[in-house]
Amino acid sequence: MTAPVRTRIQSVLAADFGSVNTRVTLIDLVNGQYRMISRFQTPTTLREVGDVTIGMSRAVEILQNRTGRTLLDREGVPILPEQDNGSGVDELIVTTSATRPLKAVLVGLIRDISMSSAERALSGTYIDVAATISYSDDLTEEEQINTILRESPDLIFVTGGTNGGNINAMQELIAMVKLAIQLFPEGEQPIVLYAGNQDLAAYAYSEMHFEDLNNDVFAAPNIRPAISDEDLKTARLELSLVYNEFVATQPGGFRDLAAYYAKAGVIPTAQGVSNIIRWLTETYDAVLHLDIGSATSALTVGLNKEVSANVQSDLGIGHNIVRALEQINLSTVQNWLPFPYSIDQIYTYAYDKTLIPGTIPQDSTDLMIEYAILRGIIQYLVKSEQETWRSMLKRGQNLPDFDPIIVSGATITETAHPGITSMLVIDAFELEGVHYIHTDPFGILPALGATALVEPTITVQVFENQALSELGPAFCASGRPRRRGNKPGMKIRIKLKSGRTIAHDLPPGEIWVAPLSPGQEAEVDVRLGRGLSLNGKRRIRRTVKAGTAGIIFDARGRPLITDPLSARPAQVNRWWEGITGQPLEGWERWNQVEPEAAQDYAAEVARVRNFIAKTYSEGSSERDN
Amino acid sequence: MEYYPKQALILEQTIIRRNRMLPPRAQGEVLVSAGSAVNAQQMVVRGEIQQDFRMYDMTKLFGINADDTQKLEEKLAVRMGGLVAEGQQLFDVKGRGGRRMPHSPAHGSVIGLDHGRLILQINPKPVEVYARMPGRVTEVIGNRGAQIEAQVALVQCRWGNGKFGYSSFSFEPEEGLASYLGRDARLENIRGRVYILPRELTAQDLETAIKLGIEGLVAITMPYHLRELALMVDFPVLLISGFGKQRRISDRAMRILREYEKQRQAAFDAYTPNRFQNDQPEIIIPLGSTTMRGEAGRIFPPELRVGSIIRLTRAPFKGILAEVIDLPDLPATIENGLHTSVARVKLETGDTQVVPLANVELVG
Repeated sequence: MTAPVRTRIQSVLAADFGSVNTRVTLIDLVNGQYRMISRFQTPTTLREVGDVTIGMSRAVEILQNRTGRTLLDREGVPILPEQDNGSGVDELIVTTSATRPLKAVLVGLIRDISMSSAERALSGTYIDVAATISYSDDLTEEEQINTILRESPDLIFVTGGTNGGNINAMQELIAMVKLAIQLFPEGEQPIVLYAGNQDLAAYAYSEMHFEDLNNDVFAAPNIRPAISDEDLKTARLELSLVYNEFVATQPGGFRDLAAYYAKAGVIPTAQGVSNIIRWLTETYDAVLHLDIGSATSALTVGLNKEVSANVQSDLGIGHNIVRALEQINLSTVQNWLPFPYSIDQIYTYAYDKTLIPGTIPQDSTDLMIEYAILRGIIQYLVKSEQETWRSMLKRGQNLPDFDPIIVSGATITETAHPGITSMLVIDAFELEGVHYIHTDPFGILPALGATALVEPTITVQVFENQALSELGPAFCASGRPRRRGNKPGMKIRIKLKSGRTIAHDLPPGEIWVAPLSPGQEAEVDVRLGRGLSLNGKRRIRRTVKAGTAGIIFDARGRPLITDPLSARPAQVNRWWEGITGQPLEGWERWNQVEPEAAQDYAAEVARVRNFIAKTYSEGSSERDN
Repeated sequence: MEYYPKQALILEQTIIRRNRMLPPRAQGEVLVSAGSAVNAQQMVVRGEIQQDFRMYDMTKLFGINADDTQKLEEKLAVRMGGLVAEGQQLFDVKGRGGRRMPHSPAHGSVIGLDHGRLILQINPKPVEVYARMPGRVTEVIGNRGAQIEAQVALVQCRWGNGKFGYSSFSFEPEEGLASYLGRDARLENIRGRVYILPRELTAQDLETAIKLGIEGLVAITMPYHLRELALMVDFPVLLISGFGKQRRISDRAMRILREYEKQRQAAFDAYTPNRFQNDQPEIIIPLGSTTMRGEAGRIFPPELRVGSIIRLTRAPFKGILAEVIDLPDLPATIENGLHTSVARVKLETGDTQVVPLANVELVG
């Protein structure tokens, strides 16, 4: 009997550390195909015990119990690689969005050219640009150096010059950075990434790397090899290596993970997602991935085989909810609420949520607040990314025909009814036309994107078979619905394979989900009422498969308009019931909610602020005794 | 359902270890040794954080070639690595235009020569790190810090204003803190202590605290508007429950604070929560090293079990203590329609409720 042929990698344990949750997933070969065997999620233990590996070990222990497979040794350390007795796994893949963002200073020749390219290269991961220093600015060398030292960055990203161009100015910048590096306390030198004029690449390395300091200097091809050319690919790869180097210096257990266990290093979650989206662009023209986390949110778009990621490290629904409120349109948030709620009350909710970021709403009032802020965050992300797709828009469109749309993040995907998840996405994007909305219910996409770095077959097979959950097709009408008599906004006929037909007349201004079983195929015929259209047509026929939500029909029109506050509780309940089949618990009580009496905190805060400032500036002379 | 919730440490007696470290970029020296006893106000590490640098191009000042180190050094009136005072002469010009030559703009040190430039570091910021609680040094951490161990009663809070205080403490009088105004705070032993306010903090409380010269405030909640004021004051402000309206807090926390009120001093360590660090705002009441027993270790919250005492963290039960009576294996749909893993709990009031596991905090 011959021993079975062992592929290079047979099993993978993927761990994704978010700021709230740690997700571990076991992937193994089953009948020659890679499959997700089991997964578990537990709170991230970075803040609580200062070590993410504690949470990971707990989650892996539970996987052990569930699968009967030994994954940890007696010390609780992952067994790597997989042993002949079946214990352990071949690879541990680690992704994270839990560490603080890497802080960078950009150094370059001209702001509008190489430095703007550098900012684009940085935009796909967790990097905050703390300062930019341009040769063309009016700063002395002393001021440039002091800027770098004051910011104390983790990374100095040096760019500038075209290949074959003048080298003198770049040499001056390199000399300045060299001196700055030497002036940092020993052992605290920032990482340097050089991606400028290639004629100086070797020179830059030899100037900025010091044997005695053992500081890290990375090099990538020039991101602007010519004025009209931009090449960010290799620089982005180098940035992922920089990030890995940075994460390995961070407290919380990442050092050991990077050094001993994760062969591919610790990969930014956003980069894992970008890898997947890049792969999807081979098949689809326009792909959109949305991830709303507790601390970080990202909108990653794949258009015409190009991927652009808008990663916002200060935008989230938990840790960074206050920072989110500072950026989003608060009147939009109020418009989604079915009860009077002041900006003050929204901020009070948010400040308190920052202290309990991993919690979920227990009553309907909190749920409405959370979902209203969530819609505001998505709308903000979409607005800030609109330039990316402007050239692809057809007349009258505000969004390209993204297919698929994939959403991640615990708040949207883990606890909500699939219909509600769909409605949140439809509302926030104001989708028009026929769209297919998917979720990443297991939060596995970052891990699969990262796995592509070690074994692309795993990524392909697990993605195609198990990764996404399809919520269902959504028929979203454009235009302004006109209410005349009892005429429907959508006249819907759904013919099932069994021959049974479902007929439903959806009133204008309403949303409804046809409760079909997931995977059930149906011929859908929709006739639009006055003022409404679908893809510019008054009637549309499609054969579709129902998702976990069923098939969604939205006759609310665009732009979405909520009723005045007096009628909004009933409207929100109708939409809720339409999409879930159940009324919203306790919605009637919102009719009785009175606006909170406005309290003029501002005047008192200003008075006490003046008192404190005056007292401290005068020493203790103001004090009573 | 297996679940490891967050934990709120409210303990009548425990052994804790805390690292007292220099901040990043600071360099310095540790002033204590392993095994030594420390008091709360004792400095354990001291150092400096570098600030701005100044550069003086000697090739332009003196016309000396940048490579001619010997000639450059001959022109210096300061020593490499040495300290300089504000206004100190930097160059030895032997009467030739000395008044126009640059002088040190501030206190600092001489870093060195680089390509013909003299580099000074000026205005280094001194950093002093204190023990912040009486105890024993268990470990010296390089030249950056020390670990201190102590036997204490511990009440962890939700928010702090970043300040620290070590003093005795009392609950505010029934008439409120403001009732002390107009009285002789020094003679009546009002000042110099931290006050516990079992209610929502107001702007007036902050003003009163400054007027009375008291050492800190602990309240249940605070309107978020007062955050900027709380960050301005120079004494610790701690919130046991968070921002917003007044709500219930753990009886255990109140019991501990009542027990030691006016009897012991405590460390009021008002860390501002930061998701990248595991420091918590906390009230540490030292119980004295003579009674120390047991072994301190890192406290990892245990698994949630039937019988666990928990604190609920979301409305409508926020702040209420409860006992876990069932942990269903499968997720359930709660009243607002969310589908999630839950626990069935018995509230202090005797009612039974189903609550999401995500909204449960172990009281340890």
